[in-house]
Amino acid sequence: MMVEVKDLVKNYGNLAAVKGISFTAEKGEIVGFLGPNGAGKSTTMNIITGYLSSTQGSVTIDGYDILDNPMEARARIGYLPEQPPLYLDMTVEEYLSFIYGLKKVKLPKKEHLEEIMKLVKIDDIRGRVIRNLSKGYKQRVGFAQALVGNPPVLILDEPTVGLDPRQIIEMRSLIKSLGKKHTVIFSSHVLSEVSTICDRIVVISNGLITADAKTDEISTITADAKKLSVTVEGTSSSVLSVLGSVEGVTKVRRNLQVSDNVYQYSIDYKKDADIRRGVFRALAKGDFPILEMKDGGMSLEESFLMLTGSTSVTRTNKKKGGEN
Amino acid sequence: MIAIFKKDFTSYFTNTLGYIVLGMYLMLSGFFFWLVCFQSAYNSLVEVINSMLYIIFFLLPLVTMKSFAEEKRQKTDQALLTAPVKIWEVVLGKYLSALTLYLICNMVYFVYAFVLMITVSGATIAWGQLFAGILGSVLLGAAVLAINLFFSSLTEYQIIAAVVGMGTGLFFMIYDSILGSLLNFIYSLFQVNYDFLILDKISVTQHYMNLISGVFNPADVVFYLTWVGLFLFLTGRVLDKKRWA
Repeated sequence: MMVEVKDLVKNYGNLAAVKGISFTAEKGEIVGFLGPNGAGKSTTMNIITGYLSSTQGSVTIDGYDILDNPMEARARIGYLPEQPPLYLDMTVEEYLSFIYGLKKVKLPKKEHLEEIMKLVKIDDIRGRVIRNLSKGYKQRVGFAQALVGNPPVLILDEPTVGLDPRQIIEMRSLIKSLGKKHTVIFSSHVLSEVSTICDRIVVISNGLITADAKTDEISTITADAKKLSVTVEGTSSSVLSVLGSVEGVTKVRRNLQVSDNVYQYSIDYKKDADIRRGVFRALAKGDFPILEMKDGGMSLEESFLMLTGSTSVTRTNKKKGGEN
Repeated sequence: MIAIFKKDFTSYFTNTLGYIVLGMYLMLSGFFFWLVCFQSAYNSLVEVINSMLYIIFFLLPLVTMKSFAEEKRQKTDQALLTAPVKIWEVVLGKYLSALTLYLICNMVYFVYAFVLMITVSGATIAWGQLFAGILGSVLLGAAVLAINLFFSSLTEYQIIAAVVGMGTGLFFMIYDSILGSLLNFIYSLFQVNYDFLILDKISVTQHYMNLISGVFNPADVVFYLTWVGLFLFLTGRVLDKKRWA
């Protein structure tokens, strides 16, 4: 076990920021920390890296407790905080050289730093002063800083925030490739990001873990409601009544107007039923052409909202009564 | 520790702060040197050092104001405090870089001694006295730097660290005279001698005066070293406490 977090509690005075978080990360695993802003992600990461202490609970890195053996534990962690810890008046090379010395790295300096700069693609700006770099480059220099010393565990706090779409894609593939050799824990509130990169997702809400599962399992956790989405041409009131009469359907809703006289509907139906054929026949009978039909459980976004306790989830059995 | 020392010391000269402090020290000490050694009957370099004593209370807060305040404000302390480095290494690295800058300032007195030797015919330099003076100046400065480093660890704003440091410097400067009149006042009221209150023993400037008086007493050196140790320790505690807050 590379990272083991047990019963972590952090109180700021009367405010409980983290209320008992436990999880583990294996070697070579990418764990996504998912949660809305203020859920306790950064606090948890600050505790894992030893920047903050916990009120209760323990963190061990590769068997070393972060409080009992801080030097051994910290030497195994590369940390990219939410705001990269950059010295703005240094050049990129000076900065990485300082971090190299600070972390007391034993690897051959020139080759090691060269390798890192190539990896995060900052070797062409090595001589530039950090203050003058764009946000994307600053983030990458911060990332490079975490990689110095080749630590087996990487803790990345929202590494893609503020990057442009191309940089985000680059950053994601970089994290993914690093995940082969390192244990990566990274936080985000962007779901698509977490689901494409991570092996496992840990959802944090309000200081508690509300879900901890493999990425492909996370949406099925919440998918006890089945739903079907169809786009149909035709007067919406008659389409609604036709759809409502199909066997197995529990609820039909008109979502949005796609174009003139074309609407999208979402249909809830019983768990063990398959209503697709019935819907086709019923609509065909009324001469309402189906332009699109999509079956699926809850999307990741919806799972996220549900797991983090947002009230805007409407399409689940649990919250059926609380619509709108 | 060496990495932090190097980084901080270099940063004095990559931004202008190091040049400002060094320049002001050279300029003012040069002025006093001219005043004392060429414009008056005094011919003693120690007098120059004495005059600078009051300057450093206001100059040295500038040296350390950024040390921790700026790290906290830019959140770079997250790199320092999550690296496999002990807190005392961070504190000592920063302290030594500030002290080194101040040591360089003090080297100027040897230049002045040299200037005296070649410009004033028959000038003799009281080397013993000069060394005692520089030692006193360095020790006093070391103490002032330690307390200002401590102030820097308390805030995120370098300007607050500097202002509090200068205010404290002012207090140190007038401490002796305040204390003197206070003790006199108490004496006049109760006819009791309050010497047993060790208030005069903790005067920062008094031990400096002892040092340059020509009588070397290890207690004066120990006083300053204790002072330095105390405030470096407190600085470490402040940094450590932050994570427990």
